[in-house]
Amino acid sequence: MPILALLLTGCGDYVLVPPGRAVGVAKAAMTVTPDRAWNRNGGLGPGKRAESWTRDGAMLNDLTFYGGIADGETLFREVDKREAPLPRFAAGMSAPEIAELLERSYRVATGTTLFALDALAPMPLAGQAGFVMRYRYTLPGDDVARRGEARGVVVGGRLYLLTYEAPAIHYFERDLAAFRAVADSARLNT
Amino acid sequence: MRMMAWVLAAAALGGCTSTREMTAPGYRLPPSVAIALPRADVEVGRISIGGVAQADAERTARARAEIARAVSVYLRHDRVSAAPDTPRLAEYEALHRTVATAIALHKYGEVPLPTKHGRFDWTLGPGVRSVIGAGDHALFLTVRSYESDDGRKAMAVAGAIGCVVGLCLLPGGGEHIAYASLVDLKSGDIVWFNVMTGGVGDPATPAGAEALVAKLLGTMRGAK
Repeated sequence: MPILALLLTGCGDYVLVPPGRAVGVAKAAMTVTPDRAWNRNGGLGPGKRAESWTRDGAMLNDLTFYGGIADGETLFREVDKREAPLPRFAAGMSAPEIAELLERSYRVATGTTLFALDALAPMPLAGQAGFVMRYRYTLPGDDVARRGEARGVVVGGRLYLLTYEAPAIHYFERDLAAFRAVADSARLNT
Repeated sequence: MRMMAWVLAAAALGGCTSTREMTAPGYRLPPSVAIALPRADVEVGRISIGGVAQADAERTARARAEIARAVSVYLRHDRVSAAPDTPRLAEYEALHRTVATAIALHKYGEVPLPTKHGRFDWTLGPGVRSVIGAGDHALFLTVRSYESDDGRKAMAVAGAIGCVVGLCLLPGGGEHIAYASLVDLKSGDIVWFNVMTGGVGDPATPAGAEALVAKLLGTMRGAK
């Protein structure tokens, strides 16, 4: 959610995340070991339990960790709670329902009408039975076609999710391996 | 009607008219290089007190034409050609806007990225060559020029009065930002970049467009 993240979180200082070193993310809910350097946004994340990293800028490659979203919580901070409340996670949600949660959260938070789920399949995360989803979207007024890949798992009734998003031209494919290296290294601190 | 990331970039870079260039390591533009010119990405209009921009289609069309003419005059000694105006080019135009905004925010603004310290390595990717066609380089231009509406001007006056009692809120006289990126078509890398904030005149007029182009491209050949 790069541009929304920028607008919601403001411009927090970025801190270097060096490669090859385990680091706790999203309030230490998870530990990951990146294979190359990233920049960690030290400001508020897009959600209460979220943290964002980038390599070239939040609009060009955005890796967001959602660490332990509990039953009844939203993925993002509310933008307009009264007029357009965000959908909430429920502990018993299936992978298709979580994919729909992500899609509806984007539609409500950004106002986009251009969001499509391309694929959803089982894939382990942190040694647990999780899922991978691939999607594409365009934000209103942005005109840049973006692609995304998310890896998630529900453990103990909480949702752990990693999303990677980038422009479909060049950037998504270029940094996809870096995201997958982070996702494959994820460990839950439950 | 929309509030865009470039508004944040313009705000982060300050309101006075200024330019800040950046070049890739070893950048040196040969004297007789072939430069392809994609259609200039231009919007001219008004901006509200809340930072919501409303483009003026008629003035935007005039500004686009005047800027294209001014660029042709400015580069008259180079081998320039127009890039074909296709839907695919529009996608790269949008990508350029995003990359340029990222450079402005993270290289010049107050939110530097540690991984970019001492480096300038932003790119549009090698696929840009198939879209542009002939040429050694492509020169992408993005111009956003929004004058304040009446409410924003009134807020500026009220804010100035507020300064007397120690409460300043000055939204400024408009938002003007322009980016120029010279792209090496072999790699898609941006080898020279300039950002200009603040207005130098109405880009929908010949004089305003010429002033903008001269200021924005003034250092492209390294002459400062």
